[in-house]
Amino acid sequence: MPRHFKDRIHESLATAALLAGGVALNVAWIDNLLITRSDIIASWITINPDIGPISGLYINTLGAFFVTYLFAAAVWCAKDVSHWRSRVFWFFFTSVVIFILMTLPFVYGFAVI
Amino acid sequence: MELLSVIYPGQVLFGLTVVLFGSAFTLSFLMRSKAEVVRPLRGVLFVILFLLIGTVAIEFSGAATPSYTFGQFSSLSEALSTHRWLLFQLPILLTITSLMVLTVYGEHIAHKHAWHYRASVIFSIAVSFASVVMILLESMV
Repeated sequence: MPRHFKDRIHESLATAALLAGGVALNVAWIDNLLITRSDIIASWITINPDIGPISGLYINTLGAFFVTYLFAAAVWCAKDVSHWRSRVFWFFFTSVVIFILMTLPFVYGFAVI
Repeated sequence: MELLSVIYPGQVLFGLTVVLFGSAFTLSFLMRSKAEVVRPLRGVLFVILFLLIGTVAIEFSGAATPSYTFGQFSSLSEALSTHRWLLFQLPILLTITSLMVLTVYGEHIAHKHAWHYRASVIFSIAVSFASVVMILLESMV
């Protein structure tokens, strides 16, 4: 019995990790865009004035990661998530690509005057 | 003693991170054919995560000016400062994600049904490696 338990793969935890990674990356680029566009948000997110808004941005991103992970792990706990596998993988992949594109200075700094 | 005053701890940690990401990148490609590499890969990723957190802690504790330039900068180096710190989130998040997937799947990641997870770990390590190399190149500008 213990061996059977050890051999079991808790896929829901791996799926939750991929989902959390994707959500956190989206939160990061949206936060960065808001910081660049709004002084109120920039000052609100600045936890340490020496470091600037990056301090709050890192905490926000990590917070989004762990909150999403705990939520998804709780919802999917002991459930068959094989039908989510492909969808979550592509969400994660797309999120990484979007993050890379949206954090380029000339992309997030773009404005139509 | 003079040598110690020249060596900057943040740079040493970051240099080690780049080297270890290179080895993790190589190991990640062996996951399918040799499932035994999962254990050392997990170890390497753990060390990388601690090095990344250490680098951030050292850089932030010694920060004299905000890293955000809000589009007001006089040189390319300053413009890239914000980008470097934004990009730094990528290896941290992707390493945590890879570690979680590898911890859950272990050597079962070589199984046929687990190709999504195997692909996401390889992709995460490749992107993280590329981003630390990018940060390294940007800090030379």
